[in-house]
Amino acid sequence: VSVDFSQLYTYLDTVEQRVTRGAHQGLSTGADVVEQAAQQTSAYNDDTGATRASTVAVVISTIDDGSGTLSAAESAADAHNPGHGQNNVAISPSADRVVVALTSQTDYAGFLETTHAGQNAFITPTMQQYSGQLGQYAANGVKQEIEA
Amino acid sequence: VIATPNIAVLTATVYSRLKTDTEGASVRAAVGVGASSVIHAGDLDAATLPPRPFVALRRGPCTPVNLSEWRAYFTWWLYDSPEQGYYRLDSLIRLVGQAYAAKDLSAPVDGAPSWIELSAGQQGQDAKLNSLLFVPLTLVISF
Repeated sequence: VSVDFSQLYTYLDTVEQRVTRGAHQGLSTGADVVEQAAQQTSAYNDDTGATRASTVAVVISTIDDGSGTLSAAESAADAHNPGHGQNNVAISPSADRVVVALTSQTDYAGFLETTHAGQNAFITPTMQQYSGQLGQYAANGVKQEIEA
Repeated sequence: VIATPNIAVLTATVYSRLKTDTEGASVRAAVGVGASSVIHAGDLDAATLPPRPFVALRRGPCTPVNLSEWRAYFTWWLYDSPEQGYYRLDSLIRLVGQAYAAKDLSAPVDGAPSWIELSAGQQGQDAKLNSLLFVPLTLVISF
């Protein structure tokens, strides 16, 4: 007996692509919310404006690796505080995940998160606050894509 | 409507586990001078730091994750002198975990059970806090 599974495999590939696309779209909406919240923080002094200008939430998947947004944010940091722009996100797109990365593209972003027991932290608290909601954004995006 | 937790009570409960509760006695024995070395992060002052090692609590977000569940984040920042290296701090991680595992926290919302996840962050050195070594230890409390 010979069974041809080629149509089934094609169908499953399509479903996988649509799930990824839906999750990416849904999380893009969520990332906008997260980014806005992070940019509105008053956790640090904002002496140069580099941190705020380079704070972005980017979705990384096989659809978009986010490098354009991250590079622009790094340039924005350099424009406000020359020599202090830095890419802090090293996540390669993978077929089995869709990632939201919230970052500030300065070379002192890590310092802000930890100094004085996290007194100036805003990346970590923002992601903690929105992590549950991001799951919902992803689910909504997938649902819309599948039902379309 | 999901009940809103009493964050003030929750924070006090998390803090007192190490500051005064019996379950936190081993932590107080391992820090510089007992309860004096257990403080709120808001009281951190580079000029008057507690005896080392010491621990400082900072509350993070407390947020609903769905229609029936809340999640609260707290971080104990563990500090020690540079000459000590990280051994005492790394030893404290286990003691803090045992203090919270020894007995459930009183429910932050009436009748709601709670559970705690604990994760240690990356080691670091704080240039603005007398170059002390630190390890952040985050508690995620779900209820």
